[in-house]
Amino acid sequence: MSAPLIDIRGLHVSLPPGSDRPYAVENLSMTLAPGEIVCVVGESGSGKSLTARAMMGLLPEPRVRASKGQILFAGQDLLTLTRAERRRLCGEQLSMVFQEPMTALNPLMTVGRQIEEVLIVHSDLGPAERRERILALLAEVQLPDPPRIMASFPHQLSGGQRQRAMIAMALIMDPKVLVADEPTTALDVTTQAQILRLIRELQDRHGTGVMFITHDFGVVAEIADRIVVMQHGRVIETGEADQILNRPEAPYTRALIRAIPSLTPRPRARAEARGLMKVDGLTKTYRMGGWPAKTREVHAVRDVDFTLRRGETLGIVGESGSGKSTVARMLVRLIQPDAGVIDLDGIDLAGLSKAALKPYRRRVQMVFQDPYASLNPRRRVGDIIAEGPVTQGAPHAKAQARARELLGLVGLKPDMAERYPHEFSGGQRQRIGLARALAMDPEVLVADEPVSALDVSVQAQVLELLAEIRERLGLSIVFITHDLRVAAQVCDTIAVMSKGEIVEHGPVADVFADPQHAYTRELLASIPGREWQIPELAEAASA
Amino acid sequence: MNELSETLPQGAAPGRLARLARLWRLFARNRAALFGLAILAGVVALAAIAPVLYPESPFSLAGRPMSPPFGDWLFGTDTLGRDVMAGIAHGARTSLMIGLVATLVAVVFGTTMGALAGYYGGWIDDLLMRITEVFQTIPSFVFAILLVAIMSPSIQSIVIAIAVVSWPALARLVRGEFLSLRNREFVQANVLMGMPDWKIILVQILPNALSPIIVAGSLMVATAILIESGLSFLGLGDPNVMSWGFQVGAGRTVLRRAWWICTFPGFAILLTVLAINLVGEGLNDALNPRLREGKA
Amino acid sequence: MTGRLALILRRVVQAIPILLAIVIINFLLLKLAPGDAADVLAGEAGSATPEYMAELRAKFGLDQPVPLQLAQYVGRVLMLDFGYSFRHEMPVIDLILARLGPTLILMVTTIVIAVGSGVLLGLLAATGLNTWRDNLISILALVSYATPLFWVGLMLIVVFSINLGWFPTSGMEEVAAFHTGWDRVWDIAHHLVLPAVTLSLFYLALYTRLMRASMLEQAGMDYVVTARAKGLSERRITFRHVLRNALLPVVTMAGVQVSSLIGGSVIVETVFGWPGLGQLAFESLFARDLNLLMGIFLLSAMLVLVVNLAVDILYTFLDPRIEAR
Repeated sequence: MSAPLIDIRGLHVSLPPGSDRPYAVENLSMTLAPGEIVCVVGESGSGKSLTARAMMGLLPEPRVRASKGQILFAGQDLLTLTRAERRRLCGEQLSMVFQEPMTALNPLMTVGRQIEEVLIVHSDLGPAERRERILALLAEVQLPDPPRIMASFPHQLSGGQRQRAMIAMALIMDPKVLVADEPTTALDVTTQAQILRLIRELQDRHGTGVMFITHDFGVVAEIADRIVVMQHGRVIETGEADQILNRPEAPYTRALIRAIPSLTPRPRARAEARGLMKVDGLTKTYRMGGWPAKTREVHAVRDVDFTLRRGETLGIVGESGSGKSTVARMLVRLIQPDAGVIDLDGIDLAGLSKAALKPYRRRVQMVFQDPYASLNPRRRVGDIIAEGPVTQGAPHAKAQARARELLGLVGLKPDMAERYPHEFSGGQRQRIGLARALAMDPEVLVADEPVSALDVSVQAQVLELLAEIRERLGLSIVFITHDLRVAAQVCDTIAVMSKGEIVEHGPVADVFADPQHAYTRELLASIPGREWQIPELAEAASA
Repeated sequence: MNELSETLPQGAAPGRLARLARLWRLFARNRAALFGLAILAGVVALAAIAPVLYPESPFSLAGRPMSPPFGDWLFGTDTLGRDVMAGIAHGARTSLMIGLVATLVAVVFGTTMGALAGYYGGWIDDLLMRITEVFQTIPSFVFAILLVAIMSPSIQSIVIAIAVVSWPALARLVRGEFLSLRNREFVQANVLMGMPDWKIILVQILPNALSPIIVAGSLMVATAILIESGLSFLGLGDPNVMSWGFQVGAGRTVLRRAWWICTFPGFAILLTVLAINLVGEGLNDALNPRLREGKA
Repeated sequence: MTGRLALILRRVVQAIPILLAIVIINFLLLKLAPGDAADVLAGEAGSATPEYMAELRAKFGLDQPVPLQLAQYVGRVLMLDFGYSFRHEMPVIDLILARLGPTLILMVTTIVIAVGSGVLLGLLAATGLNTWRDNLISILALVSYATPLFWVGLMLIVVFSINLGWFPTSGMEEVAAFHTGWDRVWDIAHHLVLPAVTLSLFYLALYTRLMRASMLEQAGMDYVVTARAKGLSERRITFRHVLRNALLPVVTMAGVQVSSLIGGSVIVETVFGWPGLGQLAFESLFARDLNLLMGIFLLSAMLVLVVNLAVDILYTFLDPRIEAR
């Protein structure tokens, strides 16, 4: 192996006094060689992002600062450089790509101008040469019509295009090191696959050393040469990609990998053949704009049909903007459909007036995505769960007693009913949200991305709980997700949505094994790490 | 299993009392806010004991007209020989009272409008916000003058006029809060329970929107006092009640010979408004910890 | 380009119902006021017989049903016929137009001073966060923000006119001097200093505080981190990136504040005897010349509508995202 480009030795990043721990990053050592991709993986709070920022000198000093250790770049300790010396390196030798390309770009400046700035600061090229170089690079990151992109403002581009422009901006000076902080997390899976491929290609062509920060082992499997696993600010395990992915040693790494849902659908017991909820011709159209501009019609959902059988979990998968969330909200009548029937045991929920709907509300309940927004911060957990039954007419004391019971059912302690939501972690909040839905004794549970905001380990626990409760209470579930791995593990049948329509629908094993629609095939091919067979790891005895 | 357990958020603070105590600590960290609170307490105390200190009507003649300050009378006497300090003490009652009542009326009305617009959206929002926009377009102080002139000057007409020109800003603020809270998932969960709208608005959303309302309301008291003083300066104050603006207006013509008649009541307005603004900002810092980060 | 045109067109059309609503409010206030035009006119004449009163009412259309009166009133106002001032024995619109000029001079000067120095001071405070510079500016802004306009005006007169004798105490120009050309401009500017400073002070404080807060908010944005990662100097980041983004809320606020500025000019013009609309409003208040007061009110509301429209259009040039919506 050639001499490392970056050699981090015993790095400590200290947090301000009063934080829950003294160091965000503690005694971290790692290296990055030219032409290699090192993935730093960890869950939230592992310190992976702060490590990246420390390298780029972007820590929110003086509150958070690199207090001990060295970051050697070409033999020079970056931490001892003056601000001016550091600025000369940043953008030229070391550059960075961020997670959210929308907010990471200045909304009032054209993309071309923002890229050009790097050249103005770090080179002495004239305007014509700068333009030429930018156009060439925009073409290299496979953006269509580079002159148009150059003159565009960030909001005029799609998410994928914005991230390509960010990458172009980072690579314009042909840096030796590229730090990528979750660069594909905000993107859809098909776009993610393209961006990963692009980073691979460019890195290969230019011999750049890439430090790639991610929480997603699928992405790691796709792109990493070497892997650094972090937890609570410490390095847990370092090694070659093949070794960590297939023969991990540290208990934490093993547990993390065990928590990743496999792409092989789980064999399913046959659901009852009788349909419970029949959806027919569900449609929602939004009208945008208006006089004097032309009214644009956006078909959020168009003519969606499906049947949910008793005891079954039906997955609705799709990318952002596919209409899957709109379908979920129409099923519970948070959104009024423009047309179509939602037949629940012979009653058309779509056609009921608000007042007539009230007694039927109970039967279809929802579990929400955001663990922080889904619980009222000003109410006690017990009240949050009991509110539903009380609204439906149950006596207060009885509803409170039931709330405590339900807390036990979802794996929390009954006496937690007295606490407020901010005292709970994300996973616990999702459990409370589930208890709130169950308090209504629903027959159908609509789960809208219930685990997508959670870390993978917590995600596994919540999914397990959901499966257990479904069995126990005989629930039928409509499960909305963008994550095909989760869908494979949770669902019996899936419906693939694209641009407001269901393009393919069938038992999950059939769809995964033999996708019929071109879009489904593209979706499946884009799953990061699809070729990596997750090893069967025994539960570590020493945990 | 244990290596995968999540870390729990620290420093859980249940209970209303504990929350208030924490709020006070955050507020007290801001020294300017404490300073404002002290001045405000002084003004309130002055207003409270004014009838004891100066039992006579502040309009009654105390002595020789235009006596200079720091002699027999702390702040001198005005053109008719009225004690300026007595006027300031009684004026404090007027200013605080009008400021508080007008703000209260404006907050109740503005919150109602904003909450309905933000919660229901659609044509209700369009209509209510169009009405708000009309009231925001009308030059507010001119409108207040007109209202008081038409209703003839009195405490009630001044309160009404100030409330009428103050509510739109609050309605916009509350609408914004409701608009964002209304789309929170916990509100959607309440809808799914079949909870009636009034209960969602009052019990679920309003408590979450209270912090900005309190902050805006406290700053509004300051503005209301400024508007009141402006009105009474122009001679539109209640003729039966002493007020700071009236004192300044009355001393205007003799500015050349008796500077103190205008100066001290005006200074009282400045101090009071400044104090309320400081307290309002302190409240803002304590209630929205996010914004404090930049100053730390 | 078409997007911008469509947007402007939509704004213009949206302004129409607002204008109409303001006219209706005006009409209702007129109805609410004690006495009608006939009473006023009769009062002017000293005494009048009931027959004469009825004749007057018929002449002014006051004997017709209220909705019809409203329609006629709206029609008249849209033709810029604001009625007749019996006090001045002139049409209201002529009186107003004669006084509009001085008010516009005062307001434009004030806006330029307030926005200009407010932005500058806010920038200075934000770039020297928590230094003495920031503290000084913040304290000055805080105090100015709490000071009643009329009091500032009077105190400035005490110091700069009475004691130092630098500036005249009132008026817009030395009428008796019959200055012409640049002499006159200079004379007016000399008279303008104190009123403009008085009126700007409050708004200057407002914009300073807003600009400072806006700069700090923008400085915490992700794109600033990106700019830093590109190796740009703090200076370049502040001026090329943060400043422009931070200006947007200031522009919005400048538009909103025009309506309150008109109120402030009533006070300042009264204090300094500035012969503008504000002083006219003050005079009409005491002459109980309601028609005139209403006319001023209506015209100033229209002025606000026009300025808001102008700010909206300006905004489309400052923020490229507007067109997208």
